[in-house]
Amino acid sequence: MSKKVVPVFALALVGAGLSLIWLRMREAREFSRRCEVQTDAGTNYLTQLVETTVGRADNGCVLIVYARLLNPNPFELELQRDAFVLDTDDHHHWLPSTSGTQTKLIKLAPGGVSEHEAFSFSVPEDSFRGEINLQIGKDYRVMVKNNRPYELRLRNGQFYTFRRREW
Amino acid sequence: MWKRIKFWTISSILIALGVTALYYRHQATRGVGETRRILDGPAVVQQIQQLKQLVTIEYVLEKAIGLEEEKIPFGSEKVSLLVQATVLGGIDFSELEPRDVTIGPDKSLTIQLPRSRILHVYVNDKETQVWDRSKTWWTPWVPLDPALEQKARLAALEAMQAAALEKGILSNAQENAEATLRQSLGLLGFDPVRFRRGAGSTASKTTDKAH
Repeated sequence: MSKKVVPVFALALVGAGLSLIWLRMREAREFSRRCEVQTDAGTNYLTQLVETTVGRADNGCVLIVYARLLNPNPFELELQRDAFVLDTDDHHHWLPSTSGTQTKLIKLAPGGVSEHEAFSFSVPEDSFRGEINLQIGKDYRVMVKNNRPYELRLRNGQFYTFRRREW
Repeated sequence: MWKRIKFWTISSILIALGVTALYYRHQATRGVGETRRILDGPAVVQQIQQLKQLVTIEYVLEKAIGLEEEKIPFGSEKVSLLVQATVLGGIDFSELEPRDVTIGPDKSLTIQLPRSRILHVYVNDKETQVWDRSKTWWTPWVPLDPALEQKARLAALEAMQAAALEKGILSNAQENAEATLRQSLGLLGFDPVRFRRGAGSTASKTTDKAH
C-alpha cells in the first residue's frame, strides 16, 4: 500500500509545487503587463509596472511604485511626474513626491527607456484596505493592488516589495 | 516495479526543480543582460536647471531601514541599513509673482511668500551603513539583486521626508525665511516688512481631491 502512496504523494507534491510556481509567474506577468498610454498632447508611450514597495514611516505609510517607461517616438519625450497619480479605494488621489531624486519632469530620450522610474506616495495606513490604481494622465489606469485588504504588519522603517497585485 | 516508480518519481522531481531553477535564473538575469554598463564613460551633464531657492533649515535625521524584496516564484531577499539623511527646507522663489509684493508709500513692504517646502533630501553616504543582507536559505538559485541597497536608500529618503514633515520642518522653514528676509530687506530701508500667509505651509507633498 505504502509503495503506491509514496510515489503518488510525491507526484502530487511536485504537481502542486509546479502549479504554485506557474500561478506566481502568471501573477507577476499580469502585474507587469505593458500598457500603451498617451500624454495629454496625444504622444504615445509605454508603461510597465516593475514592483511596488510599501513601508511604514513616522507619520503614515509610504508606497513606492516602480515603473518602466518606454518612449517609442523618434523625439525626446517629457512627462510630468504629477501625471502619475495614485488612486485609492477611498476616492482619494495622491500626488507623487517631487523632491530629492524624483524630479518634476521625466525626460525620455528618442527610443529611450527609463528602467526603474520611482513614484513615491505618502498615504495613510487605511489606504491599503481596497484596490489601488496608478492613474496615468486623465484616461489610463493601471492596477497596483487588488481589492483584498492588506494589513500592514511592518515596523516603523520597514519596507516590503511586491511584484504582484495580491498583497 | 517499485524501483522503477522510485526512479521516475525522483527523476521527475529533479527535472522539475532543474527546469524551474533554469527558468528563474534566465528570468532574473535577462534584465541585466540587456543593459550594458560602461565603466569608463565620460561624465555627462544630464540636466541644467536655474534655481531660485532659499534654503532656511536643515534637518539631519538618522533611521534604521529594512527592505525585504519578494522573489518570483519563491523566496525573498533582505537588506537592513542605518541611514543618515539631510532634509533641506525653504522657499522656492520661482513661484513668487509681482502681484505678491506690495510696496507702501511709507516704504512699508508686504510680501506673500510662496509656501515653504522640502527643497532637497539626500543620504549622507559617509554615515550610512549596511547592517545586514540576506536571502532565504532554501532558495539558493535566487541571485542577489544589485539594486536592492539603492532601493532601500530610496525608501529611506521617503521615510526621512515623512519624518521631517512630522517634526515640523515646513513651519520652521517658513519662520526662518521670514526672519532672514525681514533682516535683509530692513537693511535696504524697507520698514516695516510684513508677510501675508496664504493657505499656510503645506503639510505634505500629497494632495487629496474628491473625485
